[in-house]
Amino acid sequence: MIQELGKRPYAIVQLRQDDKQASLYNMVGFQTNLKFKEQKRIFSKIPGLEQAEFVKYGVMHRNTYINSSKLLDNTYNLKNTPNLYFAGQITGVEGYVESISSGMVAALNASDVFWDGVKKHQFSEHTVIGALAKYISTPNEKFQPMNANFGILPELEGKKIKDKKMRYEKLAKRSLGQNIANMREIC
Amino acid sequence: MKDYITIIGGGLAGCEAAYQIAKRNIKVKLYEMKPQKYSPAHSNENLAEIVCSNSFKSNLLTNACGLLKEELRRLDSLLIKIADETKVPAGQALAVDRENFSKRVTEEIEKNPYIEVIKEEVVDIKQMIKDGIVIIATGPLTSDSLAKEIQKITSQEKLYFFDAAAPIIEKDSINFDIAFYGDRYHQEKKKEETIEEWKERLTKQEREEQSYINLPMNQEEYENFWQELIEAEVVTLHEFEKREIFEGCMPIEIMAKRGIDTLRFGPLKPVGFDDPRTRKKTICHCTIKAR
Ligand SMILES: Cc1cc2nc3c(=O)[nH]c(=O)nc-3n(C[C@H](O)[C@H](O)[C@H](O)COP(=O)(O)OP(=O)(O)OC[C@H]3O[C@@H](n4cnc5c(N)ncnc54)[C@H](O)[C@@H]3O)c2cc1C
Ligand SMILES: Cc1cc2nc3c(=O)[nH]c(=O)nc-3n(C[C@H](O)[C@H](O)[C@H](O)COP(=O)(O)OP(=O)(O)OC[C@H]3O[C@@H](n4cnc5c(N)ncnc54)[C@H](O)[C@@H]3O)c2cc1C
Repeated sequence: MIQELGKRPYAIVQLRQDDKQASLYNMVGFQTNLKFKEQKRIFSKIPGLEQAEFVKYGVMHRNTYINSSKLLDNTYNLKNTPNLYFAGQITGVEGYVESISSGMVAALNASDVFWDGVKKHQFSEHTVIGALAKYISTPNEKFQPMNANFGILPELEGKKIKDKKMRYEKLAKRSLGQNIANMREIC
Repeated sequence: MKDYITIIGGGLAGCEAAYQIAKRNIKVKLYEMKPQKYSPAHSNENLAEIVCSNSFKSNLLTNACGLLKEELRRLDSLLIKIADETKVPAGQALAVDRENFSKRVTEEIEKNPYIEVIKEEVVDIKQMIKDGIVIIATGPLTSDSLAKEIQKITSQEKLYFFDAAAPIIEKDSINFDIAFYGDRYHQEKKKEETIEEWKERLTKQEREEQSYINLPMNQEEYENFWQELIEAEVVTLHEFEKREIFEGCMPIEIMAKRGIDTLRFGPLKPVGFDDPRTRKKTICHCTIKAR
C-alpha cells in the first residue's frame, strides 16, 4: 500500500535562518507596525511559538545605517580607512545601550591608535560588547540592525543546558568571569 | 595628524565616545547640529537626548541587554553611570528620568576640559579624515547632506534609509513537536524513491537543521490568528515615516486587512508541505518529537 502524507496545512508560517550559527530565525514576510506587546501576544499564538523568545520585534521606521557587514571591522573602524570610525545606530546596532556599547569600542580603539598606532580593544565574542561588534562586522548578505541578545554569543561548551535561565546565567558568567583587562582576545 | 579626535554627533554613542577619549588625555572636538538643526525625532538642546521610551531595558544579568550594561559599567561607561544615577522605579528594568539623564550627560561633557562642543552641522568630512581620527555617530536620523557624504566615502556600498524588519526568534525557544525543518516541495515522494527511502529521507530532512523552519496551521488556528492580527494595536507613525512606509514593503497587518485569505495566498501559503501532525503514524513516527 502506498502511504499518504498528512493533510496539506491550511497555512504555513515560515521562519528563515538569520545568522551563521543558526540560532536565530526570522519570520518570513512579517514586517509589521504592531506594538511590541501585541507582537508578543499574537505571534505567540502561532502553533509552535507558544514559548518563543523574540530577540527582536518587527519594526518599520526610518533608520539610516551603513552596510557594516562589509564596511567595518570589529572595532567599528572603516576597512582601508584607518582614520575613520562609526559608532551608534548608524552602524546597525540597535537600541540605546547597544549604541553606547559601540561608542565605547570605537573610542577605546581610536585612543589606542592616537597614542600607539595600534588597536588593542578587540573584545572577546563571549562578551555582549564583543559579540555585537562581531555581528555587525561579519559578512551577511541580508544585513539588518541587531539588538543585544544571547543568540549572537557562541554556544556554551559541553552538553546543552535545557533550562533557559541556567543557560543565560552561564553565559553571563562566561562573559563577566573574564578579567575585563583581558577582554582583548582577537576574534 | 591633529592633536585631537573629531566626533560627529552628540547623541548616546558620541557622548560616550567623547568621555572615553577625554579620559585617555586626548582632546576631543564634538560636533552637534542641534539647536541649529533638529532631526524629525529630536526636540531639545541637550546632548544624549532620549528620543522615545525612557527604558534602557532589563537590568538582569540573565538578559543580554542587562549583561551588556554590566560589562559597560565595568569599563566605566559614563552614560550607564548617569543612567544608574537618574533611574526611576521600573521593576527589573533600568528606566531613566529622561530630562535629567540628558541634562547630566550634557553637564559632564561640557565641563570636561578635554572636550570642546561645537554646535554645527557637519556636511563635509573628507578634509577631517585627512587631518586626523574621526568618529561618525550621527544616529538613525543622520542629516541628509552628511548621509550623502557617507555614501560617497563608503563608495557604492548601500546606505539604508528605512528599516522594515520582521521579528527574530531564538531557535531554542521554538516547539519542535509542531515545527519542522524543510524547504517547500521537498516532502513529496520522488518517483525514483522506494517508500523506505522516502521515509528515511523525510525523517532525516525534518530533523536536520536547515535554513527554513515551518509552522503549520489548520483552518481554525489560521482564522483565529487572522482575527487577532486585524484587530491588533499598531504604532502611530511619525508624519515623516508614513510616506516611506508606503514606498517600502507592506506590513503584515495591512495585508491581512485586505481579506481573510490574502495571507494564505501570500507569505503564509501552504503549498509544498503536509502537516506532520495529521500524518498516519506509520509514516510520521513523530520524527520531530525525537529531538
Ligand atoms: C522608531 C522607533 C524605534 C525603536 N527602536 C527601538 C529599539 O531599537 N530598541 C528598543 O528596545 N525599543 C525601540 N523602540 C521602542 C519600543 O518600541 C518600545 O517602546 C519598548 O520596547 C517598550 O515596549 P512596550 O511594549 O513596553 O511599549 P508599547 O506600548 O508596545 O509601545 C510604546 C511605544 O513604543 C513604540 N513602538 C512599539 N512598537 C513599535 C514598532 N513595532 N515599531 C516602532 N515603534 C514601536 C511606539 O512609539 C509606542 O507608542 C523604538 C520605537 C520607535 C518609535
Ligand atoms: C523615533 C525613534 C525612537 C527610538 N526609540 C528607541 C527606544 O525606545 N529604545 C531604544 O533602545 N532605542 C530607540 N531608538 C533607536 C536608537 O537606540 C536611538 O536612536 C539612539 O539614540 C541611537 O544613538 P546614536 O548615538 O546612534 O544616535 P542619536 O542619539 O540619535 O545621536 C545622533 C546625534 O547626531 C546629531 N547629528 C545628526 N547629523 C548630524 C550632522 N550632520 N552634524 C552634526 N550632528 C549631527 C543629532 O542631532 C543627534 O544629536 C529609537 C530611534 C528612533 C529614530
